[in-house]
Amino acid sequence: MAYELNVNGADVSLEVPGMRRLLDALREDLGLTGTKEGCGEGECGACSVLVNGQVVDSCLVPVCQVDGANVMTVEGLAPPGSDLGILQRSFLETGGAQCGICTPGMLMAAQAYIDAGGGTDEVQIRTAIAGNLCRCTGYTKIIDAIAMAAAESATGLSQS
Amino acid sequence: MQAAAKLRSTVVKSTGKNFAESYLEYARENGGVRVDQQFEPYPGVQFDDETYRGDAYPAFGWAAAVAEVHVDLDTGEVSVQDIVAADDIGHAIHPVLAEGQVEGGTLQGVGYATIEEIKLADGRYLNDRLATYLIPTSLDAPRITSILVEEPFSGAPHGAKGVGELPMDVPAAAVVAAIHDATGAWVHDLPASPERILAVLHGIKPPPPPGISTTTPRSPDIAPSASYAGVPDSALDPAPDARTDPQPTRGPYDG
Repeated sequence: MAYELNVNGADVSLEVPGMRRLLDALREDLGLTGTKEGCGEGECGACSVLVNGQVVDSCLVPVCQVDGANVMTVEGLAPPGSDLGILQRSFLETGGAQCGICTPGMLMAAQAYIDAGGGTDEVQIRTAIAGNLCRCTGYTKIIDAIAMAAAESATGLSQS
Repeated sequence: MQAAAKLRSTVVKSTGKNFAESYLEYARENGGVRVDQQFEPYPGVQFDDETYRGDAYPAFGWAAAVAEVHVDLDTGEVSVQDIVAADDIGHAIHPVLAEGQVEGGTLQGVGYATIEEIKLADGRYLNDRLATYLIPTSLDAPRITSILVEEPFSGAPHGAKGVGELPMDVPAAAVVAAIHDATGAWVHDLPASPERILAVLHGIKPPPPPGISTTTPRSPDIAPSASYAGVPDSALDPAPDARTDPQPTRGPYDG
């Protein structure tokens, strides 16, 4: 059977076994290789995507569970032809991305945090990305990046 | 670098043209070029492998770290509250990325000091995955302050010395010294786990040093006996263990 879902704003139909991992469907069937596989067992968060606004490990989600859902991947932060999103720019500016394997997942966890109205409090940011492991930055610059984006998003909201 | 220069000059001499314009043509006509070059010590730097005297490198980076820890005296748990790392990296070519390298290496050093431990049994990893080999999360990590110290080295491009490994070398010592300062206990093996800290505080035998393979005793009912005579030893191996045996990787259509 085919599963109908919305990925980064576009409706897609997936003719795949229901237990296929969402991660594989995104990367291999839809060619969205921005989402990375880290551990493949739900420990590292590298494959984080948003399903109906919730952060999930796409390595642990079978496609049959996202039938009819809205899925957002890191590609959705900067659709083709548009500029980088606020979070991506702040990661670039503060040096929040180093080797890059955790970055797509970090961006999605941070996006969910900011979408939920998260602010610049360091403990809250640390809690929001606690499911995303990073081995090479020491987290400090990632947290600075998320705080910078949260501040900018808050300003943008109050201006609009 | 010298090998690359020789490769380039071989091509340029043969074609008499600019390298970028002529290398494809050269390769079509002649095939590959081979140049052999081996490591040569930096001029003026000597190291004696027999006596371990001399300088192994022309430039040395220096690093220092200071840590602040909380130690729970009931559970032995250590929480690193704050850490400052100062690293002499020669010259920071990209200061933001260089700071990131220092911060990342410092956190690896903190993990090494507090939670990371390879456990082996019968020569095999017991914790060969992120579910069992724990590394610091954002909630375990202290805020890291990095200080770049720039003492340029004249013999390298832009005066750089290197930044990859240096920051990992000192944080564990700083954390262990902070634990001593807080509790009076010197922990001699890493990680300074609750078990090791409580063992020192209470004067009991600490766990063995990390990375040493223990041997699982065979259970008596499968031990070689008269009835097993002639059965190869391999047939007596215990059943596969999901915790220690390599697991099949998942294919795209597994489910």
